[in-house]
Amino acid sequence: MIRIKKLRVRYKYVDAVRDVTLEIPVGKITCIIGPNGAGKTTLLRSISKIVKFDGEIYLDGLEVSKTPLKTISKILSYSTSVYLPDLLSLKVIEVLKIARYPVSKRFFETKRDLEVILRTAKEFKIDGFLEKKLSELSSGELQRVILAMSVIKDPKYLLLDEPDSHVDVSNKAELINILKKLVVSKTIVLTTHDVLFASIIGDYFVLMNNGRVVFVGDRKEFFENNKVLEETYGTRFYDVKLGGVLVMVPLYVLEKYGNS
Amino acid sequence: MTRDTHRLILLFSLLAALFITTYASLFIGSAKHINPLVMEYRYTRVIEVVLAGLVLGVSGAYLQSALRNPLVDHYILGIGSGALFSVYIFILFSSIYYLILPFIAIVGGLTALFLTITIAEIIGGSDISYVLAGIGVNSLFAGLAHLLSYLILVKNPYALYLLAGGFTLASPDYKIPLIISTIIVLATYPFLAKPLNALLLGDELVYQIGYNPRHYRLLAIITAGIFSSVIVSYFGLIGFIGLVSPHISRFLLRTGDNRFVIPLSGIVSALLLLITDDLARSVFVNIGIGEVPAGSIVAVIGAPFFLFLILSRYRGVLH
Repeated sequence: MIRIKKLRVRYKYVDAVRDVTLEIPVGKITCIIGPNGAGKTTLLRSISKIVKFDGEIYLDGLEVSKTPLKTISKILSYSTSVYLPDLLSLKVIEVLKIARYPVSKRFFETKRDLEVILRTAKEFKIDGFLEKKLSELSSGELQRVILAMSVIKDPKYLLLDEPDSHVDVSNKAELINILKKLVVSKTIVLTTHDVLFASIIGDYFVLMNNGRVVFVGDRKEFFENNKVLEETYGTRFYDVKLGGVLVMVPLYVLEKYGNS
Repeated sequence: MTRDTHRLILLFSLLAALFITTYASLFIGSAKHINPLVMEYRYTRVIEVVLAGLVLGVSGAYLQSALRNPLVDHYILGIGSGALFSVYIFILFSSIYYLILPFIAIVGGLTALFLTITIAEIIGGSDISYVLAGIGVNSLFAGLAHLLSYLILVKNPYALYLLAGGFTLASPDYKIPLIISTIIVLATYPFLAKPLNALLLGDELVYQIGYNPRHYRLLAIITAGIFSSVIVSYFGLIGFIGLVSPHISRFLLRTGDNRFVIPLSGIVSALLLLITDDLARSVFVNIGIGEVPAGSIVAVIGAPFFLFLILSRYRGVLH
């Protein structure tokens, strides 16, 4: 379980995140949603010890600020988009090896490391282009590589920063399948701009606005409280049943043309 | 994996090639009744070329990975001319300089490096901004060094050799400091190779691999800055070798994995410098031109390569 107490992160003179107290459940997909600049990414980065913060964050009882990076890197993965300069661009197989460093014990990969890498590559259907450079991949392929990188060290927690950005509609369906499969053995926390996407896969929801958490709850509570969602985004939301699943649809289109 | 085995084989074959070339440089073309003093000088010079090559090659690989920038080396970042400038200043105002000269060079080299990085980060931090900032800082210090060279002429004419860079000034006094420098640089390799690989992915992901990117980047850059300055204080400005060697290594290895690239870059650089210096030492002398500085030969070969890199990098971008 991830427990956060009175978290505050300052960037220069602005509080990116303030007064956040929250518990993230194990074995579920938690979606952190909210408008741009709400502090979603900063929250993930604090849990991963990438930014300095005030307050306390406990990862399975370990206090993040007092735990060495080496230990944290074994139990959680934080992933975000990768940019690589062309001439130095690494191959898919190489970034997978790098992602395995936290649990790889020797200077060079052991046989077991390579087996895990190849197995994961097959799972994510990226084994066909292991020798391709990262800069040559399509965005859908790159997204699968990034996900494979984050699970290759077999962490307990997966923190994904906007895994659905730059992913087209057909790959989104694939992404949802992958995440559903992963959550069987892992705890997933992701940020997204897409409330519809979140409402399809989320088990637990954290809504942020201006650096604060304005709503926390499971699916049932989420759909009961669409008022707070509407206030945060300034847009109306409707819950619609699609194929037996309740989803949340923003009505920004209707609103725009409805008012005029 | 077999690919990695191939890479290790390649690494060791080039190491063997380096040993063979070193041997050949020492003994080929020497008459039987060669003056022992000449032989001793040649021995010192060849060893020092190899050591300088190792340091510059490894430093180049460190700088490129740590800054995630394929276009830099100690010369382009201004470390070289910064070090040279401070050495010249010191020679002008002091007469006892043998032992502390490398330290003076380190101060100048790191100052120039700091300036370049600061300016480059202010103007956006892209790989081209590093080159542009480097050009500025480099020209400034190189210009100052050129100016000072006229004043130095009276005091120590040998110091002029440092401008073009070469191994004519090889001296037995340099051997121990060079051996120590090489050992320190090579000793950082096991600690830096994997973090430098991770650094290529960008800072945010490095934390997730369990390294603090700032610490490792600083360690790599400072190591490269310090020891390439030491080389400059002895042999002057030898540009482009630190730029070219990592690229040749990546090309030969077909990987950017620093566990292979760093040592191979050291070996390639030593091999190239040694061959260049052999040319400088023997061929040009034999055809009656006299000895030319190895630094100029390296620049003549290295600069077009640098242009090629920029062209291939930006051909698609700048129409």
